[in-house]
Amino acid sequence: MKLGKFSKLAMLAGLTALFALALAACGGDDPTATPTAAVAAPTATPVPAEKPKLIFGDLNWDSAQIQNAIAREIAERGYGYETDAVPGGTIPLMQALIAGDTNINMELWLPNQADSWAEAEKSGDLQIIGNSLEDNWQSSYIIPQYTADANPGLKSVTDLPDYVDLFKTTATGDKGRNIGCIPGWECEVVNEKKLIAYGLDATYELVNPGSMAALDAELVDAFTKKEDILFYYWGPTSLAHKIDTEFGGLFLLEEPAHSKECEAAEPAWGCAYPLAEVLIVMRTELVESAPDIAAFLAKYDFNAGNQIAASNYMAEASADYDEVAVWFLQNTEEWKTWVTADALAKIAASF
Amino acid sequence: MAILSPFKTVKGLPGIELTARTRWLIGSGAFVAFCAIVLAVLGPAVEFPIKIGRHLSEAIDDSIEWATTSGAWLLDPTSDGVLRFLLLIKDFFEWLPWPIFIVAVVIASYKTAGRGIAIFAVLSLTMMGALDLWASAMETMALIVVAVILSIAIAVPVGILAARSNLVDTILRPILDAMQTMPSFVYLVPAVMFFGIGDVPAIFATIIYAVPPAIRLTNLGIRQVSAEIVEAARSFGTTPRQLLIKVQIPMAVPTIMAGINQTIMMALAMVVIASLVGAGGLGEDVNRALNRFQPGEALLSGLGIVFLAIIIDRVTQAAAKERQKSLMGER
Repeated sequence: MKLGKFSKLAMLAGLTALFALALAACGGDDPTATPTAAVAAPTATPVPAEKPKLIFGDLNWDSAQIQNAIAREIAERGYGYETDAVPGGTIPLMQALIAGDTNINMELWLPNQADSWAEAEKSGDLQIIGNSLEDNWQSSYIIPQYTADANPGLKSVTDLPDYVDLFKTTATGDKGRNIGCIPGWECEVVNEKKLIAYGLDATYELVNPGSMAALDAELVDAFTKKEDILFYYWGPTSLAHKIDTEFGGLFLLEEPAHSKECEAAEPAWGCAYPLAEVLIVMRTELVESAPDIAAFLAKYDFNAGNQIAASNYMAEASADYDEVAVWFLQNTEEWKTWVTADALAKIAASF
Repeated sequence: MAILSPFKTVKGLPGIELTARTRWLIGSGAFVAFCAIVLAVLGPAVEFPIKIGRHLSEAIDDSIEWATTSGAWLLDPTSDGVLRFLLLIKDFFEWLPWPIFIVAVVIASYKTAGRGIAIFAVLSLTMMGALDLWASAMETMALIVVAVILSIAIAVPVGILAARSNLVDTILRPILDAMQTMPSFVYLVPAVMFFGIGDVPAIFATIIYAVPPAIRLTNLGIRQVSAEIVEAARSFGTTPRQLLIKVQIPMAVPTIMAGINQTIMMALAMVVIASLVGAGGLGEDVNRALNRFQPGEALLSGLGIVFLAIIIDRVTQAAAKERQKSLMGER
């Protein structure tokens, strides 16, 4: 019997179908194959038409994206809102919030974003609703603990000129390399001022890492090889925690305590970064149209313990942000004090 | 089984004439039936039963970490060598006074590409100075020059190998396809682990993206040298080495230059992506401006890249054409 091209194709399709069915049948008994379907179900519950859509600014770093995922799961499961997230950096997303393209920002960093916030606040459309990430820190002068142990004389920024040999690289020549902040972030400008205020510009050069991904890759590589390195970083972050637990920890060089005067002095910024306030911002119209969400976010408070638990789980299970949020709701307790009894019951029932 | 053309009538089942149309109907009918069975038995959105992604990606992570630590004896000197070469070129471009650069470019473009491009070069370079992009533009020039020189050093020998061996050509083709289509971010982060932040990983990422056209066109150029010419050269008793160096490569130069032109253009296209691992220049300006939400600033720096690209493109293209003409004359 002669078969045409398409009859052959049909046979091939049939065989593929049998194969796929066989595969699927084997997979049917696999318990790991089911949870995603169960997770997807609750979002399908009908949302009353008058409920506004919550649009989060999905800032491009870990803690912000973890918090967004958690807040979204709570809003969807407990309060029946539809949610979305728009990705971007601090400045574009502040513009988006002012324009109303997004309506919630889970991390406004003050004083880092003081200038753009001052401008945004003038519009009157935005208001600070509560606390976000707690226990945060940032510094432009961090060394590995092993470097600090090997060089007991290196304790403060004023000691740095004596230890320039430790941090020299081919690219920086005679100067030491001070890895700085991501280009365009507010800390880039502050770090430059600090270098001058401490008189370190003669011996050190600020090197721009280009992006957070590159900065993280460089740090992991240096810590793995136990290289001496002087860099800017901040926390609580999953990488800072990983360095604490796996690579012996960080050492923040001493700087004079922060004050408003030193920030404005000439030369400016001869002092440490202040502890930042990380706040949640909502559009005023959303506070009015979604008062239950405003009440939830007002009680919301994400401390370092939460952040580290979540980012640890994320690293260990190589989970994505949604999976981390579900894990967080199922395995930690603190968030239960942020929501109403009704929402708590709904969230518990949704799993 | 012999007749496969869908446009001919063939004998199928006894008594049924299988035209192309009926076969098409049977085929699509079978597909619809297949879909219906799958939907009926398993329902929509069936989970794929085998999942190996995470194991595989973790294994790759581990091997990258292993390579960075145990490959340091090779990676560190490579990185250092490339960096020293770059610093040399960078120092040169930094030292070069702007009037000399402009005049040199104008002369080169007038000689090769003609008056129009020379005028364009004067205007665009002056504008770059006025827009305060000069230092960044020179840094970008240094990066491009180093990336392109290294690309040529890789592309010409590899292209020759591919031209002389069909096996090499067959193996190389999918690799080159992958280099051109793999999203650059995928290899940027491993490049940082291998070479540290800064210009070196940027140069390597640029080479990965920009080297394929030079390899492909070197290969093509040598293969295109006509059989008669090769035959004639052989009949004069050339050795294979002489044939390659004195006949095939000179004849292939215009094609190779077209490849290099493409490589330069693609290297310029990588400038902003390269800035994400800490490379300086116009790309860094664009990156910073976008992070600060300053679209105007970003556009101007982007235009700087466009100006450089147009000047370099026209000059190298014209040079390749000139070479082509002189070859035709020789024949």
